Amino acid sequence: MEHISSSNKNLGLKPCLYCENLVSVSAQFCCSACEALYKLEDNDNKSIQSDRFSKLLEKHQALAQVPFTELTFYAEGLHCSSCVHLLEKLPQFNDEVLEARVHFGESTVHVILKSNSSSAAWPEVAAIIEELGYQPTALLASHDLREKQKQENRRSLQRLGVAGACAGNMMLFVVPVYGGLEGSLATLFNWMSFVLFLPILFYSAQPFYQGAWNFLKYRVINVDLPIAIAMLSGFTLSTYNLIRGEGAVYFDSTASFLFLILASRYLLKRVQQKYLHQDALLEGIEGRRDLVPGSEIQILQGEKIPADGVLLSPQAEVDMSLFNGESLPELFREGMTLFAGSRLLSPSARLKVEKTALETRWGKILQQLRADSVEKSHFITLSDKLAQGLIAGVTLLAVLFFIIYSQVDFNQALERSLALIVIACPCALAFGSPLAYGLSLRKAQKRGILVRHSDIFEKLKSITNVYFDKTGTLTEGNLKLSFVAGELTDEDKKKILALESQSTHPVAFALRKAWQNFSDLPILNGTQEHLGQGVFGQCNGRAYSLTRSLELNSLDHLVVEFCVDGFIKAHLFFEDPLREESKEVLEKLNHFNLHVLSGDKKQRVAKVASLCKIPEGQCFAEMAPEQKLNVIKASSHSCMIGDGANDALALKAADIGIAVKGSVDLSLMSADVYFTRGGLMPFYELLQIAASARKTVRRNLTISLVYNFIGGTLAMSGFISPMVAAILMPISSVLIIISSLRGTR
Amino acid sequence: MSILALMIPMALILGFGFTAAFLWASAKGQFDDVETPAHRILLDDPQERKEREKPRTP
Repeated sequence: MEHISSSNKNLGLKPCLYCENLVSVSAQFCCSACEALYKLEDNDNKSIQSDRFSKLLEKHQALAQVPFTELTFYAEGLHCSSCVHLLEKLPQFNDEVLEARVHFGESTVHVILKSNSSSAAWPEVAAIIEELGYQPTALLASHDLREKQKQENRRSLQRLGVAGACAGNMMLFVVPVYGGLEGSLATLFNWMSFVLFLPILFYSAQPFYQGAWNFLKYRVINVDLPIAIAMLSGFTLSTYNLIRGEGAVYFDSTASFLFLILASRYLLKRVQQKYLHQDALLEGIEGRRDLVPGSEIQILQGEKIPADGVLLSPQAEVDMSLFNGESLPELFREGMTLFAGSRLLSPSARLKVEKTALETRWGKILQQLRADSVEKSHFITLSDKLAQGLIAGVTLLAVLFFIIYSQVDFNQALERSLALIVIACPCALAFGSPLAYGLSLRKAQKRGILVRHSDIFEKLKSITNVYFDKTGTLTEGNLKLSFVAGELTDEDKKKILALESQSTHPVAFALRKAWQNFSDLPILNGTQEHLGQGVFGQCNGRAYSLTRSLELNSLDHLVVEFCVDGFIKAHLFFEDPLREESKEVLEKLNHFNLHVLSGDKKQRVAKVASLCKIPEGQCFAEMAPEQKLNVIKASSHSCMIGDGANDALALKAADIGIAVKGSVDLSLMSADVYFTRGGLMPFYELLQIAASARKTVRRNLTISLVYNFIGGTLAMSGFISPMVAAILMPISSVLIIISSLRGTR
Repeated sequence: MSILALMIPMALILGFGFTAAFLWASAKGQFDDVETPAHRILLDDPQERKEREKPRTP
């Protein structure tokens, strides 16, 4: 919506008929959701009927066994306001559905069935979602997990709210005391602060006790321990002084400090949680479990092959991109083994099931992925290291000071050493880093870079070796019509499009994309697609064909010849072109050791590498997923950028794995970062965001260390009054907030 | 200063009331998803759209 301005009307843009976002003149709608919604309004008949629908129903039949009346679907492809609207209209499409609620951040839709309906409605619900243009995956296994996460989020928000309310009200009572109020009223107000501190102590601060306990029990480094120590000593000291009737009371500054920490942690957590938990989608990817080895199954065009099995049909064309990342399909003949996860491109095929679920080649890769996730070493961040040092340093200093000064004045010694701990608590460590990282994650997200954990920002600094996948990463990943040798009239082009109109071969997609603005195609008789050869058809007594050229096929081009009545009229050259920005970005990245790691043929990899100026010695070609894994394992400080599916093992093994395409669900299981935009530009942006995030964190740490030093010195020399603490604390906090906001702009 | 005896409890009751309301709302899940409502509100209901567009159509 933000793009709407009158000047855009001259740029060949016009508003989408439904949502009024600007789209190019050739299109009526900005997306399929808008189109569906627009058509719905004109049409009172809300039922969905299409030829595909019965097939979809069959596909989702397994859902009929789900024993719940509520189910969450991951809807791949959900991306705009219209999508939210369309999916929430589910009750209009199916009478069994009571309510559908979309969660935009997670791309999920939660569907509730009417109480009297049976789970037999689930396949239809899933089919409707798919018919509307989204890939539904039912989130079965993670049902409890999601619920738990939701409860946890609510609890942290409640803790935050209580801390904020108590800290705020406390200020109200403290201001008159700072203003010079003395006597019984001042004592009363201090006691009120004490009472208001109790909910924080016993309720809001619980996560810190847990963290501190973990620190003591498992020796896991964290900043919870110093926070808990600071808070408890602040409370103890203040209460001791309150009962004694003299000395300083720090309730208000301790409370507001805790509130700030809780707030920044909640922000970081919510940003990180935007994606689903990695296990959530496994169920959908593993394929059908109801198949038995030895049984025969029929697979339809475009369907994912559900199990490893032997082909019974004479031949079949299969999209193997899940394994080799190649855009060109492969031809299988009777007796060969098809792998689960690949996609059938021929009209139909029969298969004898051999291995199912986790036994399949794909299942084994998935299993390995899960096993590897446990092995991945814990990364120790800068703030963790500093926290460790500070805890030791400050505690040691406080103890030493107490021992020495208690010879002079015991009460003063106790008060000053406790004040030292309270003041010198690593405030920036506790909330400066999460705040800066949280804001950076959000900034990255807005640019289509999904980062799973903020550790990545610090890890990126240590990277020296960068590995790129070729197909889809350096190149577009799709065939494109590069040039035509010979004369083609518009009529010829129409004939070619008509020939390919039913085909799902990449060549057909490339042609449709190249020649978009042709309508009313001629009708051809007896169109036939011969697998591995081409398509044939007749029109007005003439024979047309589009076949693979045998003489002209080279390694970097796929050549197709267009024949009329057996005479070659033109040659069409297709290739998978290098992305426009690849070269430019790679030049900016030349301080890394760049490598190409591809499953494609040697010559094609060499050609791309030479275009990108990557030395030949750093190119690995014809690599299977398992081999890529070994290359990455042998390398240190590695970053792998590749396809989320066929590079999954390598992505997982690399210190940082970045997925550039493939479905989001699978990618985020194996990769640390996912780019929703294609190409390498996001990688460059990610490096920049990471650098500025690190800089901001460093600045925050410096501010807090300087503050700690000053505060600590004042505390030990006895100059810290509660008023000074109450002024110093917010000043340092505000400084850190400003620094974080500036650094992540 | 005796007015304080009235004001302090009132301030506390007010604060307590809002905190309780917040706890209730978050327990009910009002803050589970703060992003989707922003999208939900953007588009008009079909009925309203039709009425708004009527004068335009010839």
